[in-house]
Amino acid sequence: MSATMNTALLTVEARALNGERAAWDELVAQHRRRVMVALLADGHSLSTAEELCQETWSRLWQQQQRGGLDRLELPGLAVTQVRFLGRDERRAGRVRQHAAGEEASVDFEAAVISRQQLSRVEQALSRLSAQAQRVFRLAQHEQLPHADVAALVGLSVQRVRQIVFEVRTVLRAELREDES
Amino acid sequence: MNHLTHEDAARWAAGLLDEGRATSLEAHARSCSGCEALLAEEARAEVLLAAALEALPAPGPHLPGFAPLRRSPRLTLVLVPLALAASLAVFFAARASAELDGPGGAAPRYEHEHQVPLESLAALAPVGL
Repeated sequence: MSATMNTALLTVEARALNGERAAWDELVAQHRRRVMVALLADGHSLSTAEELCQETWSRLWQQQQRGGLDRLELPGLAVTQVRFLGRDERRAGRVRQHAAGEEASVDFEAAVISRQQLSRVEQALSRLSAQAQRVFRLAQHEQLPHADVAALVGLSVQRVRQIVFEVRTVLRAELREDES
Repeated sequence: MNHLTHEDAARWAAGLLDEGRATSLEAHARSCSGCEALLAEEARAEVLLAAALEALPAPGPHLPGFAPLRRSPRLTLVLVPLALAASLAVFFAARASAELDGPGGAAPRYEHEHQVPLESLAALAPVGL
């Protein structure tokens, strides 16, 4: 069943690679937030992030139209593109930092997650209930839409989102504890 | 709209809000520097968590187990007779093999007809060697 869902997702990307505008709209809606989060985490303001996201999707679309895209791995490709644009804008001095200022930005590419942190996260994941593990795996690793996860596990979408939120809260606490 | 809480921002960063709610939250944050900073803070936490999860070994493929089979009468009707037939086939094949071998156990088998057992060669050897 999950393989069928994955095939459905790939089909959207395949349709986008064939130049279908509706498929691109669908992919933008699906990955827009992840792309914006990457820019906000890099220290850009919300308005700059929105502009650069728009520019990123526009460039990807144009690249596909020119036949320059033979694969479409999202959100990774869009995140890479938007961060490149973000660095470019910062070099040109055209961006406004968000309220927290320049010091808030972090070079996540250079960030190192310690072995202890990974170990703690892994242990925390293993302590979850079987249902929480399954929901989180489907939503996080297989990147299924929450509605599909809900259909697979027989829960409501709201319940699936709550489980994912609770799991993420636990994992983030583990990361913070190790940092401190 | 009220100011955002950490939970609002965390749910937004994790993509756990409905599209309408996420849009109105972004609209508010655009005009409220404190809430914008909150979104940025949660975005950084989200990116760190994503990096940690990517660094972990990928979980194995999803194996549904036998529960869905048990719930599927059609599959049960097909799979149970197949399993019984396979078991019977293995049983009769083993019995036929045992009958061929005879009561003394497995008869020696040789790759080539001209091969003879080592015991026979020993019997032919000159006495005293």
